[in-house]
Amino acid sequence: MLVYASKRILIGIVTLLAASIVVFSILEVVPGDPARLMLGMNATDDAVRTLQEQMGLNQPLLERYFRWLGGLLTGDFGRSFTYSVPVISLIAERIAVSLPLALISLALSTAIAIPVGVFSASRRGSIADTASMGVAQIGVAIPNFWFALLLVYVFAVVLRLVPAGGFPGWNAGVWLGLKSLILPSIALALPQAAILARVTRSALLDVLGEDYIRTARAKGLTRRRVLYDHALRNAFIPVLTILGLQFAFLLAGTIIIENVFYLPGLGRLVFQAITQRDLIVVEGVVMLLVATVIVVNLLVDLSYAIVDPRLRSRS
Amino acid sequence: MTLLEVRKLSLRIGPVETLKGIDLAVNAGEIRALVGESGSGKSLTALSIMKLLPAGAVPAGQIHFNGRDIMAASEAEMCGLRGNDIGMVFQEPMTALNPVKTIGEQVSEGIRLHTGASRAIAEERTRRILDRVGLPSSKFPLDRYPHELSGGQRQRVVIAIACALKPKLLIADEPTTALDVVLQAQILDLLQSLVDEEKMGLLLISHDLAVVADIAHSITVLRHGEVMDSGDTTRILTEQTHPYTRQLAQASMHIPERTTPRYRPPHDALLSVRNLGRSYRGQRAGLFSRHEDTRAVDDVSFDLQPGQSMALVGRSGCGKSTLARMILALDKPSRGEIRFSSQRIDQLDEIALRPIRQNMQVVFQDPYGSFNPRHKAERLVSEPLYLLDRPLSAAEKRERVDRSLERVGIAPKDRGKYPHEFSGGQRQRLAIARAIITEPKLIVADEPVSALDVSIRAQILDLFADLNGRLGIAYLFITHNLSVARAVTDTVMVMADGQIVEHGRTEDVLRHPQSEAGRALVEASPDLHKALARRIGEQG
Repeated sequence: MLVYASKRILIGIVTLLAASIVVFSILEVVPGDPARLMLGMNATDDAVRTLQEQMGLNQPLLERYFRWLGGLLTGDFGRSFTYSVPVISLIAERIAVSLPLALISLALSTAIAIPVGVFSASRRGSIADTASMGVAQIGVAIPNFWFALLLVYVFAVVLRLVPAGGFPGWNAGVWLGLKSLILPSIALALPQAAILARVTRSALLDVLGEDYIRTARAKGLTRRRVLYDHALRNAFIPVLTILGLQFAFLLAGTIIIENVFYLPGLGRLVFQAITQRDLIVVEGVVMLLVATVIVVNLLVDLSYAIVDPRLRSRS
Repeated sequence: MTLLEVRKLSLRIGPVETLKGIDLAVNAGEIRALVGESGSGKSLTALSIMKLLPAGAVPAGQIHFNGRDIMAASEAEMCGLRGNDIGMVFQEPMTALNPVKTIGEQVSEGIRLHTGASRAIAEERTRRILDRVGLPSSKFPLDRYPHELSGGQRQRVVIAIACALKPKLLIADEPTTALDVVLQAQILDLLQSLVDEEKMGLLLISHDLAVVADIAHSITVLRHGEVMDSGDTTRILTEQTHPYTRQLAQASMHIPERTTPRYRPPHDALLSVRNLGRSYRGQRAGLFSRHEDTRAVDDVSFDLQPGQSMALVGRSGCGKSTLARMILALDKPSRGEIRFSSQRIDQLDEIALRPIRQNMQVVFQDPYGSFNPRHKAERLVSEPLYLLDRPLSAAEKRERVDRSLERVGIAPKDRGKYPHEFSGGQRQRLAIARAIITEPKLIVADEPVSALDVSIRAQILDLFADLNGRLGIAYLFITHNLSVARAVTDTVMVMADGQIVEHGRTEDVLRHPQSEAGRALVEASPDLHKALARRIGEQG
């Protein structure tokens, strides 16, 4: 287990380093000098040169890379060109919205998907199975922004239970904050739940066809106990893989939903930074997301080993 | 006393009647063998008794077990019987155990379920039964996972699960088919002693008469879902009144007629292996340490003459397949050298290997797994033709495919069929057609008949013998089955722990094995002749 874990962690660190090189060099080769962009087209060459020096843009590439990397490690992500505030505080503000949103959606989608998947698999071929997989199919097919608009219309406009959009900030009270995240997280969770339910069902059906399920039945276990005691744990590996991928998506891929609900999340930050060529913000957010994906994948890998003893004893 | 009585059992799956009025009885303390080829309905009969039939299967008839009507029993009643009064052992030990549960959990689960025993008591009983099947908890603690055990050890765990509660009836469905002959003999011994001790009834399912001839008291022969022959083992085997029983027995003992190898002037060896070795790095023991390297193949040297048929026999895990992979240049040796037609091949790259591969082809064990299911026979068989020096025209290709198919006894018009449209035996013929299409000098065959029914096995062995005689192809036959070696080879090498421990003429080695490994194989091999002789001797 120790060997397995340390190997995974090492792979994660190497990937992170490789990603930092890619991110840094892509933004280096993008046309446009950040100093000139910040000062506008009419700035004098002198002014641009002064700013370049201030920002350290005239130093050798390698030195700038290591300085940037060192900054990342100490939490100094640089200053945004457009907002003139530290990038880290911009990100922190947005994470306070995006992370809870992602976690709530993930919890919601898991809570719906796994019971539905298990239910469907245990009644394979029945009307209930066909119906729930049909609903899941629709869930995959419906675009989430359309579904979001529908939710807004029903729950905000007609029923007036929750706000239609915007985020009051956590300072306004936890309940008010959560309330404004309810609809967006439902809109995000449903398509994810639909995918996850289908994966759970098919993974479980695969496992239920295995020889050891027959051995367990021959022992005298009921169908139900075989499902919960023997099949479920074996079906977890594909489910965990999908969960990991979904979390990464939920954290950063939510820009459409953020726009529908007017939420100040990470997705909108990146979008604005890209349109305004605020490269240092883009770099910072991208590195943060890369790190998150790597950490999540690491956790998924480690949980594989908890589920499956074959991964524990041999690396 | 009749423990299990099956009467007029029929089974319908969709429109197909798979079982047609089967009668079968097992008494307490009796070993009843149920013998038949694949598709004869052996396993479905067993699953009918357990009421674990696949969805959509509709049984009819009567099954009485220990005075109870199984056909009328509810699912809850069946859960009470399964694993308690009726135990079952399956064919494939590698997949029969849940990979994420320890062997202790898997054995004690049934004990706790049926007896309501506490965890501690169930564990105590688990230790006792594992000890009984040859897995003492000093060497095999309860917290072992299945992947930490070998195939034979796993099958012992499955037997422990089935026998933990001393069932009145044990059903064993091909319990030894996936194991090598030595393990097979051990497992059959174990089953027999469990029957003797506990007065269990045992329904032993097998496709090979030779396997059951020694231990079964009585035999029922199935074919196409019907009982062909049934009765006392000695009578069935000695009288062989039923033509199908006779056919099975003959197929099991079949030895193809071979043209005696012609005198060959001293030749350069076709294949020459010198001091060959292959090591695998030891498993990690911790962050910075490793276990010692394992030597899968250790200092192996031999020569194979053109046209010579040689068997490589040994138990599973002895290094046979690793050796074969190196000869086929699918794996690089750690030490030593391999020459083919005097040319050294162990260091060549893929391009330089092409002319070699043209002369050296392979036939694998599993006729299902070795074909792409979406390609037609013509494409499958013509695959190795890319190895030729010049590309063939479509007409030339077709001609070679047809010639190859004819040689293995498949009608050339079947070239447009997909693999699933052929039977298991025909698929193995296709694999052979693919191997001979480049007119190779050597075919390496890795257990080419062990997945086949006995009658088909006999036909394929005939084909191998015929091709050897007609085309002068040399064979390296990898097998753990000595009757296969006896059937088609001139010489035998016995392998154990990565080394060749014995090498000689097939007749000599099989009759008077000199090495310990050779003796173990010969003694454990199921042999209908010997079993018959013993039974006739007992009768007087």
